[in-house]
Amino acid sequence: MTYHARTNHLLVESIGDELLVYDRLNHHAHRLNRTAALVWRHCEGKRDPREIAAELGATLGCTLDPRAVTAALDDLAGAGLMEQAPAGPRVSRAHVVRALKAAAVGAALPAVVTIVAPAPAEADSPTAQPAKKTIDLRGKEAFVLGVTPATGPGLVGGITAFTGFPGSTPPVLVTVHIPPDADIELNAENCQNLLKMMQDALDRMMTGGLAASQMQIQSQRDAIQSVKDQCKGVH
Amino acid sequence: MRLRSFGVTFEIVAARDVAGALAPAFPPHATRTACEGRALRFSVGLAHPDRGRLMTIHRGRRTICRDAPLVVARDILEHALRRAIAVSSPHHLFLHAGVVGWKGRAILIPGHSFSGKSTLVQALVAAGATYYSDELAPVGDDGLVHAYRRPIALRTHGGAFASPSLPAPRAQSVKPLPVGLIVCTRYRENAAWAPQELTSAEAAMELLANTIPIRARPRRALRLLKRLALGAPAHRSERGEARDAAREILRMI
Repeated sequence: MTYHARTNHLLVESIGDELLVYDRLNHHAHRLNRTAALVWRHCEGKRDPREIAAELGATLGCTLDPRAVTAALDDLAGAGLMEQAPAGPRVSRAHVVRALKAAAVGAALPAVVTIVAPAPAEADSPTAQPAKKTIDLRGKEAFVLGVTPATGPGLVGGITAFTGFPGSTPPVLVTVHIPPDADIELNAENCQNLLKMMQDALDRMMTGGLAASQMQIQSQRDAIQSVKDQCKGVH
Repeated sequence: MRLRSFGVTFEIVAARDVAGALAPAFPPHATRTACEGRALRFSVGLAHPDRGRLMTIHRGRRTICRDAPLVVARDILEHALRRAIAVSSPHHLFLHAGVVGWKGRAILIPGHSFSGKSTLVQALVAAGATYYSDELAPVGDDGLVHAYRRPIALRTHGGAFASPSLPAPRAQSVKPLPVGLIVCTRYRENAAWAPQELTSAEAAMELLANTIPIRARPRRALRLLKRLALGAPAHRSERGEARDAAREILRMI
């Protein structure tokens, strides 16, 4: 079986002998080390793993185990950089490491490292981790009632930073509009804090302590329900 | 009032006394402009004048905060302006990074909030480096890093306050610098400084993870990040006390 590297919607920069690949479809960025980069570049639909290994071995000046090439193809497919996944069972990395050590080959084990590119809303929040689930508030107008001073991360994500802290300034209630693209990680603590703050805001809207139209009140209710649905089963 | 900063034009609509009170929130190096044309519009009003100075801020038609006292409104406005510049600047690529100048080169410290950037920047400045930024690194198309100087804000758990030990930088300009060193670090109590050199591609990934408009302009960003990564050594290490790490870092250039 031969393999095709994917090319559509990818931006590729060679940096030293490694590759940086940016996937415009899902905003994932991948770093391919030298061996993985060579394997990927050789996936033109003409060679199977054995043939790729033979050719790369000549380039790298050592013997390259075809299982290492298959492992690289697995990683590349998992990263979405191949047109198709390799045939056959996935080769475990541990197995490949042992095989390469036994063969005393000089080539580095192929490696593909992936991160999720930060969204603009993450300008001030700790992200760019391997893909994580976030609370989706797109298309919803929602308010929270928080305690200040707490800004920056609290506005765009890291909602736990929004609950205030003891300091010299007395805490003050403030209502802040959550940006639709706020990046709030879906975890138990964020769910609890966010729901409390949204409910507090709704209570203020209902009692007239916070000026709000009927449409905004309904929108706030919808947003709260949406967050509750997303947070179901999160521990 | 129209302001321009890093190629982005803002229109701030507010009563004169309110605008004056909000001035500390305006971006550093912003200049007044009379030019017409597209501008990002922020309007600030007093929510309930009879209840004291509680402010409501809108960006365009969208409310970004209500019932905020002045100190909070300033923070929120500053954050919104900073974010707008970082996303929209046409000629600068904004990284989430601390920057100091040392021996004619910029030391770039990429990192997100709560990684200890501001504390480390403060320690580097105390050790003699020139303060450029503790938060954002604007990189020009020529690969030079510009300053984004505002009072260093040190975080406590869950919030931020201005450092009492460093005065706000004066408005004098500092010239853009080529990057001389990239340091990827985060604080861990009692951590030993043990830098490991990164490959250029690893350095580019670290920078990419902290590139604010990466999704909007990935092609341009990748090219510039490649240039930065190939142009300067990069190291990664945990760090303990900032003062000790600062000393070690300055020795590396």
